[in-house]
Amino acid sequence: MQSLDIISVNIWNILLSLVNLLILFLILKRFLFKPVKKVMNERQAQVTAIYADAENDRQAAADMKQEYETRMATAREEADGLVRNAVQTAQRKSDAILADASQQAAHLKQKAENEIQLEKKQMLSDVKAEISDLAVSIASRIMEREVNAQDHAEFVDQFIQNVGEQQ
Amino acid sequence: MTKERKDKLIDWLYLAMVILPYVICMVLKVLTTPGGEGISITGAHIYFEIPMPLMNLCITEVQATSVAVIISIFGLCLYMTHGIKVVPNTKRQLIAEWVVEKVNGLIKDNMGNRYMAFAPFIAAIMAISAFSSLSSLLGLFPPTSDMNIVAGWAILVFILITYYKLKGGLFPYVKGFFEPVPVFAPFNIIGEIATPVSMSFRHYGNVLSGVVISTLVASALNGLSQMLFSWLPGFLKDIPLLRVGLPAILSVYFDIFSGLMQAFIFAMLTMLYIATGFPEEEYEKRQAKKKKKKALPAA
Repeated sequence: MQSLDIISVNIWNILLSLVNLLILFLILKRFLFKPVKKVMNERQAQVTAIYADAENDRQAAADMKQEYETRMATAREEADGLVRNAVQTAQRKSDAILADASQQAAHLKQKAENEIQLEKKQMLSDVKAEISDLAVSIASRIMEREVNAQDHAEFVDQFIQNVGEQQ
Repeated sequence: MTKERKDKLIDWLYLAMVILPYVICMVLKVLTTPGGEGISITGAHIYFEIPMPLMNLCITEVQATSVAVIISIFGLCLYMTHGIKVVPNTKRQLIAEWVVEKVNGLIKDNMGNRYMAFAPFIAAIMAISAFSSLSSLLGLFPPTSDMNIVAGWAILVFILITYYKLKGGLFPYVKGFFEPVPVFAPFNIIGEIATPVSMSFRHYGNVLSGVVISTLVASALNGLSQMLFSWLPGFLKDIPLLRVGLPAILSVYFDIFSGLMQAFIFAMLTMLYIATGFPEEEYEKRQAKKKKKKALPAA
């Protein structure tokens, strides 16, 4: 069997190997790089989609939190307002009641005083009458005779007047 | 269930596609190598010749091994990408992705994003060179130790380099030869031609030297063991006992390390030559001019 020399140049062999390399290049491009790249791109797309979803979810959660917080703040404000209103109303009512009560009390006091005054006057006049009777009976006993109350009314009055002034 | 079985069958088919070509080549080699030839350093055996213009096309064991390598790599690609999924759950898919990513990263680092289409080409160079060199582990004649094979690759690379250089326009390309002074023109032309020559000789010489040294060491050990063990009785003295061990260690360096190294170097040089040979400024100037010309009739 024939052998080639250890160093030999054959342009057809060179061409053949050149074509071989080209064929291998096409094979690798079509059967290794293309499917692998396709799969990797798909994975990349999936990962990007997942990240986008996560970002969206996070954004939504943040929005919800924001809304919740604002709502909480307004609610607190509203509650504060309500309490303040209630306190004010109660204050006003209590003031009114107090004023009413004091007015009534003053009124009652006035009335009582008036009544007292009236009673006093009544009593005074009663006392006057009694004293005049007493004085008449005492005087009649002293004089041993009947004193005409009618005749001495002027005198008795004067006496009582003096008593009243001495009191 | 049937689909699973079908997938498994296809897997086995692809694996057979990876292994069988080598087996066929080995069988061919064993059948055609004449016995009792002893140790000799020759080129590849010629199976037959096809008459062609200029010179005959010799179909040798190198051609057979080259085809086997290509079919084997093809089978490997099919096997690795079979049943590829978006969420990987097989080791082979991880390996395939690793390979693709590594090559892409290499291109990005050494050439830039413009050349991403080169990734399969660089991968092809690396794969064919590495597989060819490693085929010597199976006792085959490594195609990379035939100059014609490597020269073919180098010429293809040279064509690519020149094509990319010409993208900057013919005039700057020609002008490049007359720089820095016109006297340098012959040297520049030699330097240009030296690129594929040096690439092919470097690769082929490295692998062939490994083959030559391995053969020399083997024959020396053969003689030594014949001298030392000729007193052994019967067939024992015919066995070259000293050939056990040392050739294996040499093989680790010459076949595995050197072969892979040369594949890497060849790919690296290809990338660097193409990337550095490309005249970016001229190319952009030319593109801008073309755009202007296109825009002129419209206006």
